[in-house]
Amino acid sequence: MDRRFFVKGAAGSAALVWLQGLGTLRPLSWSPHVGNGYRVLSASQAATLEAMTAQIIPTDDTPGAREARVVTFIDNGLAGFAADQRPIFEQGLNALDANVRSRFPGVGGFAKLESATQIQIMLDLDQRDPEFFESVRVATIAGMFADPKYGGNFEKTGWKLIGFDDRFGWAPPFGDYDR
Amino acid sequence: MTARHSVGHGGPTYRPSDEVDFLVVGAGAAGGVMARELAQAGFQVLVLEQGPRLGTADFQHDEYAVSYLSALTNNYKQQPTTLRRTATQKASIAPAVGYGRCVGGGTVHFTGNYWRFHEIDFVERSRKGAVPGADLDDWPISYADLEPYYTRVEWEIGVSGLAGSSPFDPPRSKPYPLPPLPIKSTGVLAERAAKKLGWTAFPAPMAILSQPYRGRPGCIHCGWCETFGCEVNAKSSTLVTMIPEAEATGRCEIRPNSYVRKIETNSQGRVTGVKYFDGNRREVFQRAKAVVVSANGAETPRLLLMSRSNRFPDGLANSSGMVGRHLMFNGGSFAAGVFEGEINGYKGVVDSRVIHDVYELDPGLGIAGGGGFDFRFDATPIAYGVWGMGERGPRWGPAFKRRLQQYNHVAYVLGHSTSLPVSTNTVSLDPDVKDAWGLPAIRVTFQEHPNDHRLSEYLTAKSLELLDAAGAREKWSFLPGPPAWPQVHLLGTCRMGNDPRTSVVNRFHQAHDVPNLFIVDGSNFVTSGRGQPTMTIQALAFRAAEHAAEWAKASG
Repeated sequence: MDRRFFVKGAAGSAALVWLQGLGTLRPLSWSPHVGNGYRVLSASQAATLEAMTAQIIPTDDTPGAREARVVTFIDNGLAGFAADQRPIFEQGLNALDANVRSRFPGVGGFAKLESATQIQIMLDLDQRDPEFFESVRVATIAGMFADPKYGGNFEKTGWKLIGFDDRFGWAPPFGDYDR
Repeated sequence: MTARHSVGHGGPTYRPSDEVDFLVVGAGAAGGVMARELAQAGFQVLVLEQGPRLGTADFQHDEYAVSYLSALTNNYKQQPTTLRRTATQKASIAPAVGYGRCVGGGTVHFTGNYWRFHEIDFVERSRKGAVPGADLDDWPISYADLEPYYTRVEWEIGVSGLAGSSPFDPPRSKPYPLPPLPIKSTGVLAERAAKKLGWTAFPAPMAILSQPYRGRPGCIHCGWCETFGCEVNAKSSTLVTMIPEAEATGRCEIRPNSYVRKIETNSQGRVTGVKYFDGNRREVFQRAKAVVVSANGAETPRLLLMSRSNRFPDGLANSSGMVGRHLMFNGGSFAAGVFEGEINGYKGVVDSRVIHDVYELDPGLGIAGGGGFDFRFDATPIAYGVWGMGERGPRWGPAFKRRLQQYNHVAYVLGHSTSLPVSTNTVSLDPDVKDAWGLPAIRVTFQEHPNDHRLSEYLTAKSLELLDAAGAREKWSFLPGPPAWPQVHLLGTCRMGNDPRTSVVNRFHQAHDVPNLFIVDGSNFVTSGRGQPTMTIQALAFRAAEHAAEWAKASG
């Protein structure tokens, strides 16, 4: 049962697209977006999404999703390999912003709320719209740890955070216990 | 590297009108062995493989591109599968079974754990008795019958290990051809834990080369074996062992992108060849004197069921009604511990130590079957974040980030165990859902036997004990119980046996109903063993090929 838990937590959910969407992608044709602006997301959608990803993998004394440029990865995905997730993201982000603007008029959107308020809203969202929440969560993790060529994991931020070294060739000792 | 063992594409090209001696469906663990053995015995062999032929240049360490899509495995968008718990339900589309879909099959991306089955696996019914609700039966062959072929697998494909290191190992006629791979931190922790429990952790037998062997290099310890292809050919897949050796005979053609849809028979009830879709989705009829189906425990019964005809209205080789029944997967358990020091599980092959003290359980427990453990950390970074912390673990926020940062300090204890044969657990043809070629989808009906659930709970509890004994400072377990989908060990659906009323093939893998049809893969298993079925699939294939060759010579 080597891969018994292969897609545990993601199987059957729309979030699986983030893990399978590259199936149709020809590696050589892939050119991640560089430069300012996004391909799919509006400025306000991107700001909301970035604030969400920064709550999922927060920045503290070490970098988080924001520094890994996870939103660039997601935007690239929505423009290409995970295009079928666009409705979930666009509707989810727009609904979240509408909700925030009605409850907190004049603040200027989810991203401008205090962190504690953002967390409360996301806890609620996780219950109310689990498909959208799980899609953002899985996309954030994928953007944090996928190969940097897809636009996230900027300068291997995610890999450095967890201590993964992409050398792919080692000699013993491998760890502290087999020295 | 000698020409004989090169990975080039040698071999003849047969025409559809050529009546080849043997047509093999599936170029995986069993099909590769059958092709090589039959070609070396002097027969013309054609292997039809659904998937593409890939090579080391295609095997990249890109988790996002490889791990979760279908570069090496079946693609659910093109080939949906359906799933239900019981026959009264309507199945819904879901990833139910996963398998290698390329030349080499699952051996390209497997982890490489090569456990032999033990003597008990073949005679559990007569030794331990029946289990209510299960169709437990003895195999028509014994461990002693298969032992010479286990040895052939080890020597001919290249398996690393240490003979005599496990007190539970069955008798063997020869040591391993290669010493074990180096121990990892997970292995040292397994040894510590086992010692405290009075158990033994022994060097994991792996189908990965610890040293150069037969023209292939030793492992470079990249660590990304599971799910990925090996970039240096140190993993002993059939793609780099059996298949080039089959082609080097000049008598074997490997034909990729060839998706078999029907085995054809004549008025005498003999197989005449197969219909398949080529890479351009054109239908081709290929003639053959005999057909070997080695398509795996899900695709094999599907093909037999799709091959129904007036003479075989319930599907080919199915007069017993056993085609597709007794689907088994191997059960298991999953627990994790966080350790003070660095483990760095991502470096080096997945497993370096195995524990078999639970292979047979204390009868007082009242649990049938048994299992084995290994210590590993096989979660690639995305996988660790998505599912690696367990169903009850943190999902986001500071606690989640803290767990992420423990990546190099986590060890998993995996249990691998018996799945009991239940006649209502089946592979069948979905009546509604079709694949991209218009063929009926694989429908899985599966409700695990209550014993499997209890075994999973028992192994989970033992895993947590092992983690304590190893000195874990935090630990968690995944929920024991129903299988997570898709399942990848696909066993039992074309049982071998002496009685044509209760089995599909005889003890030599020949269909009871059709003398020139052989079925050789995990579908023949009568019991599931405790896990790691590929070794036994290949031992069966070496044995089956010997008998198929004798049969072909005798029948002219």
